[in-house]
Formats: sequence, structure tokens, C-alpha cells
Amino acid sequence: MSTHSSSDGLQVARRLLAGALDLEEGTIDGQAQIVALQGFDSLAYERLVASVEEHLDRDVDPLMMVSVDTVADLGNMLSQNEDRSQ
Amino acid sequence: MQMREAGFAIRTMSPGDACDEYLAWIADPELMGPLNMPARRLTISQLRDHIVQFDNKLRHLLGLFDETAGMLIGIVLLDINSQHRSARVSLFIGNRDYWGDHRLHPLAQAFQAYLFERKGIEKLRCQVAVDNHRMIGTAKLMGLKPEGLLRGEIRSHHDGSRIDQFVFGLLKTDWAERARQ
Repeated sequence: MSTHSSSDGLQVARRLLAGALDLEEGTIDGQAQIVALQGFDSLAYERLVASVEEHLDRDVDPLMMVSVDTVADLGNMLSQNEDRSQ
Repeated sequence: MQMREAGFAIRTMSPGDACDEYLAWIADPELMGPLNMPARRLTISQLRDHIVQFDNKLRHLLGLFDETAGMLIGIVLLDINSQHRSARVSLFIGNRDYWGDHRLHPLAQAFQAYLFERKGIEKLRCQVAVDNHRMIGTAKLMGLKPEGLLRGEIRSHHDGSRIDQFVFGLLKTDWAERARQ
């Protein structure tokens, strides 16, 4: 049984993106493409991957991470990975 | 090959572009590591020899320049397959002050337009080690899409292990569609 809802994942995704891209969480639309968010660049992406790994406390599957396009995708990925670590 | 945009330029390197900064980048493990290239200490003469090895028809060695500051800031390698009208690009920004610098985006966009509209390229691609997150971010930013995972594609110069790479690609049709939006 899933212990983390996708809305929890989306909330965490917004928080991690806000930190990596220096944005306000509330301005991040769940359906937005991550590359289209203000402040996205190569260093921001590097910070985002580091934040995700720090949050999950383990390395993230590169194939899973590279497939993430939208904020919602990131939220779903986080939810799935948190469930796996239960 | 040469183009300018917003104070930055990309152009074919000539032996006269060999400089201490470029030598320092090649000798820097932090810069060369993600490219899976050994850090090497070359002389200016050896660097000039390296530069002239590129035919600049199918294999291009291009320099990224900040024209305002008057200096080389990075390198682009471009391999063209004329039969398939495809090009493989790899790059690094050697000058760390320009990492994540949004001012370079117009030049990058202009470079893509040049390849697709004037060089007849129909497919652009790059291969990136799965842990080279900075380059993955760059590829995504430039509109390239992940197309697959190449397991153990290259051999590590460091310890001989096999390294996985992602292939990123961008079709001219997708680029044109994106440009229209």
C-alpha cells in the first residue's frame, strides 16, 4: 500500500525545485515543464538532482530522473521512490 | 564557421587561438573528468597541433568567445555525418564564471538554427555520461530529448570500467515546431 500520495510528492517536488531554482514554491505550476521554469539552467539541474538524492537519502535511478519532464512527473517519481524505501 | 549573438561568438578555432586558459582546462581533472578525458599537460605547440587535426568540414573544433571580454570561454566539438545529415555535438565551458550563464542561450539557439537551416542538418544528438548532470541539464535546456540509454558505451580512462551514457536527440522537425511556438 502506498504511504505517500502523489500530492505529497508534488509538494516535495515544488519545495526541491524552489530551492534548486531559487523560486517561490507557490509560483511553481504542477503542470509546467521543468526546463521552462524561470532560473532553469545546467547548474540548477545539477542542484535539483543533488536535492532529490539528499531527500531520498540515496542515489536516484538516472533513467528515472532523466525521464522527468514536468513538475508533476518529479512529484510522481518522488512518491514512487519514497514508497520503495518504506 | 562563425556566428555572433548578444556579445558572444562561436567560431572555428585556429592555431592562433591556443592560449594558456585552454591549456589549463585540458589539465583540469574536474573539467575533463565529466568528458571522460584524462587531464593532460600540453604545451602551446602541442595544443596548436591538436587544433589543426580537425578538418573543420566534418570534424569541427569551435571556440566559444565572450567578445566583450575578448576571451575564449569554452569549446564545442561537432562531428557531422553528411550522408545522414546528422551532427553530434559535445561541449564544455572551461571558464567557470560562465557556468549556468543565461546570456549564452541566444548564441546556443542561433547555433542550432544555423545547423538546421544553413548546414542542412536534420538530426542533432549528443551522448552524455549518466552522472554528468550539468551536461544533461544543458541538453534538456537546448530542447534535446533523451532517446535512450547506452549501457557500458564507453570505457573509463580512470579505471577501465564501462560507463553508461544517455543519448539525447533533436530532430529538425521538432526544433522547427518548438521555434514556431
